[in-house]
Amino acid sequence: MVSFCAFFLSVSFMLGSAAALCDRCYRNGGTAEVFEEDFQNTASFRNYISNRFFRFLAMAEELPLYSYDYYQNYYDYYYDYYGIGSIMEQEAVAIPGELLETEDKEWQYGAKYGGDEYRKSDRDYKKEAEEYHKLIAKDKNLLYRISYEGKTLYTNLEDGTWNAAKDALPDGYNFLLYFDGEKASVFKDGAELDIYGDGYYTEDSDWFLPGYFNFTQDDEIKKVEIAILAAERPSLYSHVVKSNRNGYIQSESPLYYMANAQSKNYSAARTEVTLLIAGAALFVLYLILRKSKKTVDVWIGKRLNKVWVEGRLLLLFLILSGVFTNYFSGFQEYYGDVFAELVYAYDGFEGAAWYVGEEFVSELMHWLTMRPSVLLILFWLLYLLVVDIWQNRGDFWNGLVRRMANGFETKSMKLPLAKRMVCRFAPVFWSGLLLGAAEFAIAFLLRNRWLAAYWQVLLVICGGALLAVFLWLSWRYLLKVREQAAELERLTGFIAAVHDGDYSGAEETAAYSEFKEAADNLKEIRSGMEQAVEERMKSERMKVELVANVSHDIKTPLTSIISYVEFLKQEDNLPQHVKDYICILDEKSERLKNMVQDVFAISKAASGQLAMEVKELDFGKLLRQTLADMSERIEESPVTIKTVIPEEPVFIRADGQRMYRVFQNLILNALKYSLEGSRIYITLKTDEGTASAGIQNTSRKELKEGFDFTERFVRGDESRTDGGSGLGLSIAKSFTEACGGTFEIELIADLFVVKVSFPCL
Amino acid sequence: MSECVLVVDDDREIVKAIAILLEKEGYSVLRAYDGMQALRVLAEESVQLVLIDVMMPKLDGLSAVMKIRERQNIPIIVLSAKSEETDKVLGLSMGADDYVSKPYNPQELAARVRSHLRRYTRLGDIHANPQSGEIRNGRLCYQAQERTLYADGEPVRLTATETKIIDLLMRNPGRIFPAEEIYRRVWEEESFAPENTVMVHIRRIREKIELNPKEPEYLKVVWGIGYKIEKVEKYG
Repeated sequence: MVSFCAFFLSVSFMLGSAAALCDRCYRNGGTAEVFEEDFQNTASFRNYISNRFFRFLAMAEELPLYSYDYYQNYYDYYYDYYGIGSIMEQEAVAIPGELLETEDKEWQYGAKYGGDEYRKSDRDYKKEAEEYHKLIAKDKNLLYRISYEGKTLYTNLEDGTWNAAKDALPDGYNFLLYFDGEKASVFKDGAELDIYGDGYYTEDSDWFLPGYFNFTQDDEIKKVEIAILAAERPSLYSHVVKSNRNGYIQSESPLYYMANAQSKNYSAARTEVTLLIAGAALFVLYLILRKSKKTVDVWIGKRLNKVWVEGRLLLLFLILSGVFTNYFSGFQEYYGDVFAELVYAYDGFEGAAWYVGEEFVSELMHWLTMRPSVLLILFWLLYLLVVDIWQNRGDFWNGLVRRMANGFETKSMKLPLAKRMVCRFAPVFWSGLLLGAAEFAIAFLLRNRWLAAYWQVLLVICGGALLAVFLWLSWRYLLKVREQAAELERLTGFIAAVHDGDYSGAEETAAYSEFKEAADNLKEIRSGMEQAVEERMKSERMKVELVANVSHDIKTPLTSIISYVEFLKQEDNLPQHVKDYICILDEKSERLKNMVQDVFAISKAASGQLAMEVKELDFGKLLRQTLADMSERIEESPVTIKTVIPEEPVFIRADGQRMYRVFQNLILNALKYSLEGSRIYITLKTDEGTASAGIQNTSRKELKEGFDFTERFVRGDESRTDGGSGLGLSIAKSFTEACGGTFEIELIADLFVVKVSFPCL
Repeated sequence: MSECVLVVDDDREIVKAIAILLEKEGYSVLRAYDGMQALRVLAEESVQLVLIDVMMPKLDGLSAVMKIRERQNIPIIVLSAKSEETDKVLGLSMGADDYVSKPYNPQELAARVRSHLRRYTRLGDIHANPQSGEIRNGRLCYQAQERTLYADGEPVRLTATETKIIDLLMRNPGRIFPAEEIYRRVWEEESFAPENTVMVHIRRIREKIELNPKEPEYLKVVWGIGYKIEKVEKYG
């Protein structure tokens, strides 16, 4: 969280202050100007002083204050309208470079090429100069003395306060420009400034004053002597005079505004620099903590992802359009109708477009730096967009349209194959149609615009023809797809039939034109499978028959054995060892009998020939009955049985007699092989439509891992000699499966777990 | 005079073993080793019961049974190594009265012979004229008024509870009773887990009425549902 705050503030600070600073520098003509605390060191001030100087020069020489030309008329208009004092001076502050420069150029022009022409003008320059003097004399921020041939013409210096260049300046004034007729010297805070440098004027020179080697001057100027004093801390003076031309004219204090603006500029620039540094410091903090910012990004991503993409895009569009509406009204005010110019450029001159474009971009950049808030909004929007795209990779387009598309997809999955295939093609067809309509609409709307009429007609005809061809082709294709889909559906139906075990059906191969080969192959597979299944059934039947015959053949002699063993058992006068032999014979014959019966039952169950009497029955009751049935044996055994069987009925479909056999075998098994004193757990659980009975006992012997206990003739204890056939689990498994249940054995260390499951009703 | 039993089997040792068994029980035994021979013996001697094997040379057991039934009404017990239900049903439908599968249990075989002979020689006329209040079901006969159960005409000694159970079941032969219902109607109270109690009594009754209590013919458990007395159509 901290890191994100640091990131947010640092970027906002840096971006905002950098933009503001750039704009400030751009507006004030350079970094040096902005970071100058003393207004007297700024170019505005120097320009202002030069301007005043040349005006004073003109006043001394009785030259026109302004030249007669296009610009002059333009300024005269303002002169007439607003009054020279206020407007001219204020404009000098507001847009220093442009206005004064033009005027300087004009003056220079006039000075170079025969200033005499203007003297012949019918205007009363002396009167203008006097008027001007009257207007500005009350502004004590700028003191001046204009002398011609040693005689003071105009001054607003009070007598005795200051006389010569070498005198100390009056209180509150620290700037002096003194022109002796040839060169100007500038003193600031008592020290003389080097204004000419190497003596040649270039564009980079600070001061524009006479006295450079490359400025020619007439002799008249040598008679002029001008001193200009500027206040260190200008105050506001306001003076209204009555003009014979324009009624009342107000004069204000340009230096005061200039100093004010400069100090504001300076403090603002300082604040911006502070912010920039603070931003940079915060950015360093963010870099240190940048890892924890990720969590905030993830959080933002999650939030954003909750909004549908349509909503997000709409919001983005609204914000951008809001910004741009504001932007364009501002931009047009500032720059004029750029688009009109752009269009004009395209219409008119080649190459101009490039120029306008370039200018447009630079103006746009400039405009943006003037509005840091817009810049920040754009930046953070971009940031959110990037976070959204990055954090919600793959899920960015989550929205209504996508949901609808998905819904359509799932819905169409339910349709039969043929319809689905045709449906899938529909968008292509419709979009083609829509595209065609759009083309005609555009052609209609743009008629008479760019092209000559017959070209338009040709375009429409060509487009229409292409569209017709496209539609015709896609319609043909659609028909073909439909045909194929129908065939494919028949083929899949065929496959489904084979899957369901229908090997018989004779199908019309002729219908399958495209898939004839596949259909033929499938047919072969089908007949092959039919044959294989038949053969397998036959062999199963034979197997069962064989087992039945063999068991019958064994039973006959076994009957005799059992009978005679029975007689032997009834003999009284036999020695003990013979009785023991008879006992063994009895045991073994009993086991053989069980085995024969079980083998027969298993082979029948495995081949699915066991007659089943499947009924609805209560699984829990079956278990309880089985336990009750075996209660005597359970009581005799050294283990206890714990049961968890629900009271409420759990209905399944099974053959009760067979399942009794299954559980009898399982419980007997558990009784036989359990550790003495241990517990056998018999449970019945229902879970998601499946009822499963579990029988769990602790084995007396170590259980062998990975041993299949359901294999026939497998016995947990190889050395046991009871009557068991070794087929108990095998029978349990085949009977359960014959009833439609599942039989699982799990070994957990010495735990032997059997699970018998049936679907609930 | 002792009853005469004809034992027919192609396996001489088996015939001999059965003969020894039955002679011990006090019956006189005639022997035959194929179907033709059996028919000859029957034509010449007075025989009260026939024990006959299915698979035999010359004339097989089932054909022989059909031939015997053409002339005589004596009980016939089919003895076969085929133990399947279908074989049993086939044997009984051919006219046999009982079916014992090999290898047989000697005690059970003797009990069956005894049961059939008693009913044939002594009870034949009783079966012809049923009395009122008498419910007959195969070997069993229940006198409702006396609350006495007869098996092969002999009264069975039952305890009071056992009599109540038999009364309930014999009055509704073929109907399945859940243990809860039996308990409620016999003990006349509700029980939490009646299965064990009911099963103990069922087992005791079986010992008294069934020829082979391990493979009951009458008092049966319908697994997962309840208990019933099987409705037996034969012997009638």
